[in-house]
Amino acid sequence: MRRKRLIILALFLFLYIGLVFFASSSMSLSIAARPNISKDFHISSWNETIDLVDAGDGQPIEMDDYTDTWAVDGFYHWAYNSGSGEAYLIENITVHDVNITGFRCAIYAFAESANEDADIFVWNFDTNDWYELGDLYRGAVWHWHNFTVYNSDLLSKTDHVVMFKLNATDTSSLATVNCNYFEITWCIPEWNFVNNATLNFEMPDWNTVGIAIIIFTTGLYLPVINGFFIFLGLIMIPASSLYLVRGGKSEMSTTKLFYVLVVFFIGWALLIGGIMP
Amino acid sequence: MYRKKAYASIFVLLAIFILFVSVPPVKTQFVLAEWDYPDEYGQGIRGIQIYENSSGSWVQFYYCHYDDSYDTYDWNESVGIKLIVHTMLNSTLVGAADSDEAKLYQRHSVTVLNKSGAVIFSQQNFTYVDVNNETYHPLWLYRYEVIFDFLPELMQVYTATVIYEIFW
Repeated sequence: MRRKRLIILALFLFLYIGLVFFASSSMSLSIAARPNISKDFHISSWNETIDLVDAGDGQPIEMDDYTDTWAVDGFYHWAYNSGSGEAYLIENITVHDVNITGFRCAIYAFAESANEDADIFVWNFDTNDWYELGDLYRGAVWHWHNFTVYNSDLLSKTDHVVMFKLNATDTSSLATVNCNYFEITWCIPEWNFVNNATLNFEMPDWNTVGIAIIIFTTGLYLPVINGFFIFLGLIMIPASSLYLVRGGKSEMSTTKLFYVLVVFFIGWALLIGGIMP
Repeated sequence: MYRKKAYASIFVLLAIFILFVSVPPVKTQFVLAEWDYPDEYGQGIRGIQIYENSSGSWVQFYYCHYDDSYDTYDWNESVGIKLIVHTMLNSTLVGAADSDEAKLYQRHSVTVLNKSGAVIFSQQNFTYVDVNNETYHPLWLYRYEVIFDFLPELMQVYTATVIYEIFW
């Protein structure tokens, strides 16, 4: 009978110590992440610089003198109304990781004034100067222009910065040019002009490329509980030991011995469990 | 005799109760799951350093790396938390002239919810730490940090969502 009680006590003690070992802290941390999200791109950035300068006094033309908006389809609509002189629309287009063997562009422009003369240029990296792709026809008609340009400098790069300039000069008053369609067709090794692969102008935008979810879970505050257990252990161990040594006033029964031993071992279990991290 | 058995039963139940109460209710674990990195351009969150401030200074207690396997980790409760987020930016894709300019093309945000779903912390525009624009060229490794302005409470669950965005 006593042996069974001792076995039960030993099992409780092992169970307690094992559980304390098993759970050594009260917090957990877990991380979950979602796959990166990205979208296709062709032209990585579209840096627009509008330089409207009045040739007469060299001062920038007021904003009211022109309007520019993005059409719904992503193409550029540009118009200006200058009294006289010269105005520029410069588009800096940066293309990355594309081996370009050439390109062509098309512009669909509308010049209201008969005296209007609008030209489109591309920056020639060889000569460091603007290369005129062609003239827009004068008159109140829409025109479609295709230009094919092979730039040796472009061929040697995988990162391209191509600048286009739309230049309009007019000596008369109230000249207006509407550039409603501006398309560039790149020719890369995998494609050719026959295929007429066209890269659409894609406005840059914020792209979520990574999401990480971290979950912090907190439990009980162990120092308080451990301190309480240590306190109990420091009371139960000496009390039970003292009772065992003195044996009480009369002969100790097996039941009393059982309880005293239980208190003794539980006290040690609490003390050890409280001290352990 | 029956009274003694009843006392003994109560005592055993009390002992069992004490044993289970003394066991922390939450198992300590560190789970790293579904961290796909990088994207097709080499970008994304490469890692997160987690710092705690239990001794008056920030001490890193774990570095979550994108290729970490499932792991477990302990940490102290009721301490300040700081994250240093490692992100990769494709400089060629973004087209920034230099690493300083590229700061303008990226942003971060974190939102922390408690177990009831209430937002207890949210911040955008983390503090810039440093950049490594040489080792992984053309990828640039940026480090940004964010400090949680709250101390974790007991018996609580905090879900922190870190988002990394790039402008191109």
